[in-house]
Amino acid sequence: MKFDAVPSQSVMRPPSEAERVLDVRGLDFSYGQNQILFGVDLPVARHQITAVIGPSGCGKSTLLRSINKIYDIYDGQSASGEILFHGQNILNPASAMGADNAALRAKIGMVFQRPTPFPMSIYDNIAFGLRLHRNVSRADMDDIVESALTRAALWDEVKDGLHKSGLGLSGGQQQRLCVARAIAVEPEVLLLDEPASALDPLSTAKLETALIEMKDSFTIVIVTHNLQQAARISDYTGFMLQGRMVEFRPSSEAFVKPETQAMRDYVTGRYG
Amino acid sequence: MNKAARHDRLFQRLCLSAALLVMATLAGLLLALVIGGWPAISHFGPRFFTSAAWDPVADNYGAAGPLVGTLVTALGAMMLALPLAMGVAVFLVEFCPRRLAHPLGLAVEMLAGIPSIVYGMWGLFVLAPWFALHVQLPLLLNLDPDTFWGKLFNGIPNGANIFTASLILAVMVLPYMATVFREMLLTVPPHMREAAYGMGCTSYEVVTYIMIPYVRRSAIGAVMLGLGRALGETMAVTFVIGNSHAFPDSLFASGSTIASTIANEFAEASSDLHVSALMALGLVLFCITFATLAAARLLIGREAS
Amino acid sequence: MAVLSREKRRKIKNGAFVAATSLATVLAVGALLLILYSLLVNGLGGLGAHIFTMDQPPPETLGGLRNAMAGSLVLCALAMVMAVVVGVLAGTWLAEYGGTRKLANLVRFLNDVLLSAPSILVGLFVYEVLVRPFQGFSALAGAVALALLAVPVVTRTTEDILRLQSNQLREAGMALGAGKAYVIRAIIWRASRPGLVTGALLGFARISGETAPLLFTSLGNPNLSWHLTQPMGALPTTIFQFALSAFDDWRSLAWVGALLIAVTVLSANILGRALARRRDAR
Repeated sequence: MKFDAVPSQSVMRPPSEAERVLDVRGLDFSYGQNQILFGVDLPVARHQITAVIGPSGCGKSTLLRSINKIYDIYDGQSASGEILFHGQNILNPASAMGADNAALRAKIGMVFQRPTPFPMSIYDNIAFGLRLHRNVSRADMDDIVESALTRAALWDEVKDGLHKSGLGLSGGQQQRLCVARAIAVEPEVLLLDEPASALDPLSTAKLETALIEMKDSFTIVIVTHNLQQAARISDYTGFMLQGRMVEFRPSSEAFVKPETQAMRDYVTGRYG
Repeated sequence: MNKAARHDRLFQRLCLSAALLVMATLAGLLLALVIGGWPAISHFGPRFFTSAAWDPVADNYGAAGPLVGTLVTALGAMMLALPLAMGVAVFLVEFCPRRLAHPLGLAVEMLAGIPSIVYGMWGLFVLAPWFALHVQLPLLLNLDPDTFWGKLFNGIPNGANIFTASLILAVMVLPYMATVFREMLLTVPPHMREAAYGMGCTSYEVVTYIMIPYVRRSAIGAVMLGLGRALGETMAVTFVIGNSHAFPDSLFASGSTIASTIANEFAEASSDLHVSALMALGLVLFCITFATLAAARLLIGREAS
Repeated sequence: MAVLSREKRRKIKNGAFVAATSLATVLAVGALLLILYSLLVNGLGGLGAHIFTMDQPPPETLGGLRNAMAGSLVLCALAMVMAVVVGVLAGTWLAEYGGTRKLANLVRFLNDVLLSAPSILVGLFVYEVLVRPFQGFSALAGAVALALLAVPVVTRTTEDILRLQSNQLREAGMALGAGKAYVIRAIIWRASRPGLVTGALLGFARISGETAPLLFTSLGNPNLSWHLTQPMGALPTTIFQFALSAFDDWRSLAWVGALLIAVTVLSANILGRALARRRDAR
């Protein structure tokens, strides 16, 4: 069976409005003439991990890329609808949050599918983002770097070589470096786009543990095609298909009692 | 040995000899310059490189004037062209609307292939007269010739001087360098750009802290290649530098480069020592450009591997 | 407040940066357009049938550029024949036999040196080898000088193009029992033909406007000549002579010549690139 039919049902059991720090409402997204998202909702609860799953091409990465407006650096891509952050629609350039992408992205950080260490030392990779936003003394910087690396579960592996190039690390270490770099600026929300897809099982486990521990300080949205991963770490799960949000529910029930036929098929592995 | 194997062997040797011919050409080039230039170098000794006397009538030659002229015009051209080329490349890659970026990039690339004699003619007929009238003359009239600025900008107001030569060289290497820089910036992986934008960098920060460092090594290599071109360029310079052998004493003084001196005098040179002195100049130019090229190769090659 | 002013500072810096790069582009493209404009205005103004039917004139009489164009054609054609033969064979050796051997890397490096060696030095070299010993400037010497400038371009593109051919193609040929040399000539070269033509066109674009190496090899000739052992005219040398003269009609002819050269080089470059693009698309 193939998932080419547009899903007809949708089931939403979102967190209460008071819990939400970020709220995507009716998001449409187009790449040129090509519409990719159709009225997608994604309510994101504070200090929880929200997972978005679905087959490849369902639009889950696009959804994530809309939230910190990274699509904005390309011509011809446009989003409409509402993405409320602190009650303001960031898609509206007239709002305070929507006018300044750089400031927005400092509050909503993102980790990408492929590890992206910048061409500089491990230390500078982390210090880099911070120096953009404020003046930090050398001693404070040392503390922040250590704390960020510790929270990303990388400190013990790199503490003796902080001034070596970040490009010399293994893939798993590079990805955790990117997580450390993103959280060093203390964003409120951390977006992760398939962060473990290029990693081996051990590195994946280390990353997942780090994410669960970071929940106390950050709100996390993770896009993954890995059901087990979503089940292991997330509090809420959204299932997308054909550019639409089909089910959105607490993870505790989403995987054991899928309600729509589409999600049932997906969970039972009838679709790759 | 059967016929096919013999044929194979013959073909391989044919190809090898063509490859060796390339080597032999370069070796021959160097040898010709050394042998041709040796009489002048041995006749004048180290003085050949330090003396600014270049007097075909008295058969007395020193390379300092053309040598300094070569270095000053080429470095000056790089100082003008480098920021412009970088700016063009960054604009095309980062800020230009996509629909415009491709044709603009192609146009700049095409201009890199226009022969230097065209640039030289434009310099002679358009740039030099304009420069003389609108820059040199006003400066000459308004500056006290005894002050620092007066001395710096002193010169015959005909537009033929080392500054305009630099300017023409800059315009000439600009499309070449902009094209190379653009190609380099396009090799920065998109996920690297996204990651930088994703953490709240402005375009300025993404370009200066992430993209340019990412291509730094090959960019320096490209600068060296551009410098090599400027150093060895003949026609664009010969038209506008004024061709005087005196040691240039101001920015607007006429001067000469090694290449322009050879171009102007070689066919006319009658005394053996004059010919040899020109050959020795060629040898100096060869050494300089070889050094820049070797440096460029070292930098670019390492990044590729 | 401190945070706010920092954000503002970053934004201003960014705005200035965007403005600076835009300005650089406007300046650069503007200068280049200015050059093209002068070239078109001055060149087209002097263009006419007589340019192609008359030889270069004495000062202050009507004349054309026939001898120079014919000379340029002969010199470039001769040079390209030499350069393609040597360059394709050398590139083939690098791609098919040289591999990563020390000798191959040395040849590659020296080829790069030759590629960016000042062209006037190549002129000096050919003067020493082919002009001085025979006591006279000759078209042949000029063609050799141009060939030496085109060889590195052809060698390099040939190597690049041949490397793009898949090993399967080579293996399939060998599996039929063909010798390596035969496979290269009959299969690899044939499959690479558009690329080899591109290389030749780029080489041609490189040499067709070269002036410096001709100044003391083919020298120039005010009359139409087909003798390879005699001095021969060429557009670039004629332009050089006419542009620096004091006569208006000579200068005007120099502009026409410059326009002709620029158009030739641009066409060769565009054609070469179009061929390369078609190959990539396939």
